[in-house]
Amino acid sequence: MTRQRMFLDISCVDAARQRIRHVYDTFDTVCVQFSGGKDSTAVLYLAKEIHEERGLGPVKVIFRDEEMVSPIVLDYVNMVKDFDWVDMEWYCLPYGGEVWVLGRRQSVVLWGAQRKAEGRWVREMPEGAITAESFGLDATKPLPEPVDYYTMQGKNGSVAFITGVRAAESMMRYRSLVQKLHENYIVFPFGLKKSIPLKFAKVIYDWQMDDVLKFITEEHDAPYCEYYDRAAVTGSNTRVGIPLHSVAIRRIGDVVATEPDFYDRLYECFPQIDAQRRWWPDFDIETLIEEYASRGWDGVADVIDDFMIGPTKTQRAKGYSAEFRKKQALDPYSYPTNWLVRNLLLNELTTTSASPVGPKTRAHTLRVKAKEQEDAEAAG
Amino acid sequence: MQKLLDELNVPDWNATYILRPDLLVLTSSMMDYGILSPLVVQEDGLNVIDGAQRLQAIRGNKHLSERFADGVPVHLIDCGTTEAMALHVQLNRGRGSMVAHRLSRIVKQLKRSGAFSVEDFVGRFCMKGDELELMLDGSIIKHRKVPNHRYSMAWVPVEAPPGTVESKPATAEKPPNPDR
Repeated sequence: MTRQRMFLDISCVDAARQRIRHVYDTFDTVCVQFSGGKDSTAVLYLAKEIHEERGLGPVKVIFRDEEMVSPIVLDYVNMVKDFDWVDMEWYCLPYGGEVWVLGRRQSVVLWGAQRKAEGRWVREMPEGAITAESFGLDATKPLPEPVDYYTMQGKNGSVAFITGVRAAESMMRYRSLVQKLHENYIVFPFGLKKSIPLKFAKVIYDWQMDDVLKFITEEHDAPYCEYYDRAAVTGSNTRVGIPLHSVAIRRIGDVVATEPDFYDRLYECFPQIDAQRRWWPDFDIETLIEEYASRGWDGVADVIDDFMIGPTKTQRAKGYSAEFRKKQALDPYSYPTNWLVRNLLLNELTTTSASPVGPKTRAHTLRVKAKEQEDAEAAG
Repeated sequence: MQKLLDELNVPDWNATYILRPDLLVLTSSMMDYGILSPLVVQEDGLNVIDGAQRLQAIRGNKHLSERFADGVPVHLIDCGTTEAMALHVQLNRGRGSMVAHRLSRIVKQLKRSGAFSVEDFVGRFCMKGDELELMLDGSIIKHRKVPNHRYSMAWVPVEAPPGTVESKPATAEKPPNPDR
């Protein structure tokens, strides 16, 4: 038995309207988690519909400003903030982030006090923002709790944050949306204490990108962020978000193509990113992975020494490797060393997420080959 | 100062390459306006430091070869090979690039002015059908043909034997081109 999609006899838009009504019926407080992107814009207008239908007043909106937000997205968020039917809370908290350049990871604290003192904030903090000081936090350090813990403070009763997450965005998101069979779109936020009464409601989970654009422009005749038109002209990815983490920076050329002045500001703050822009298409990451992996645990130690910059990243990488090593001892084929090196260099790192190598990956192919060779040697 | 085409050399350390459509645009601009700035050339050996593409375009085009039969304007630099290489890198890495949405604004304005026909865009910019349409339109709604789109059907997850409920597995949206 596997998880599959059973299609219904209604459109995804009508289904989302049913879901959002259910969310408003179920929770005491409902907020839209808004990023300035097309998906959260669609969710915002779905919420507007129900607020008008039920006379609920302005839609409560949460915007998590992650500092490296591009000017064109900020213009759009500011426009939305000024809508009379929107009540926006604008958070500028010290989020832990990273700058990833050709495999090298460096921790940064977004809106961190230290970078401010060095004059290396990408932009000034907007007036009226809710900051670390609002929670009595030290702005030199990343948030000690998940960000949702802070953004849900002051909300009454059980709380739902409606998000624009869609299954079509990635296989990870798809899998997260088919885990539950009942109310699959209402989930508990990852990493939050179970005692905190907050849920995410992913009401447009089954929409495709064109559903989103059609809903915004045709049903509401509403503006969307101009970034998407620039993306269309330049063949860029249609995602807004901070551009320097390990996945996004691999498409830093999209930033250059759509907002070169924004790239320049990022470069002023983080000069190392220019190497990524110039050389990523020619950078042979596969050879690098094989070179380090071929030296076993010494190679892993060298990866940590060579590519993790600063104590935070080094500590996290060591924790992750230790976790991986335990799993490798039990199941070496599912946890090969090159899979660990690949994760250290390329993927998101958490101390508990050492996952086994999956099918259709290079590491898996190598594993099968090694097993075949071993079997052949045993037979012959 | 002028130098004959045959006198000039493209050194083997030249690190630039021009794609065919870009070479056509360069050729077209030289047909219209000639050489507006001199080629930068190393005095010793007459190695082209900057302008190898223009030289290539002239040598590869009969009309341009005839036009510049008496020589092309050059700016001679008295330097060694190492310095010539360094200057070559400086001049080429320090070159700006076109920003698509700003180019789109120019293309729209040129079209509106009536001074540029579709043939002009093809002949002078090597900008053909699809690219020209994209530059003139510049909206994701038209680009993705959103008005013709019909809403997708809603779905819910179910537990069932493979292939019994849905005929093809879910796929993820991908960026329109590789990492860059």
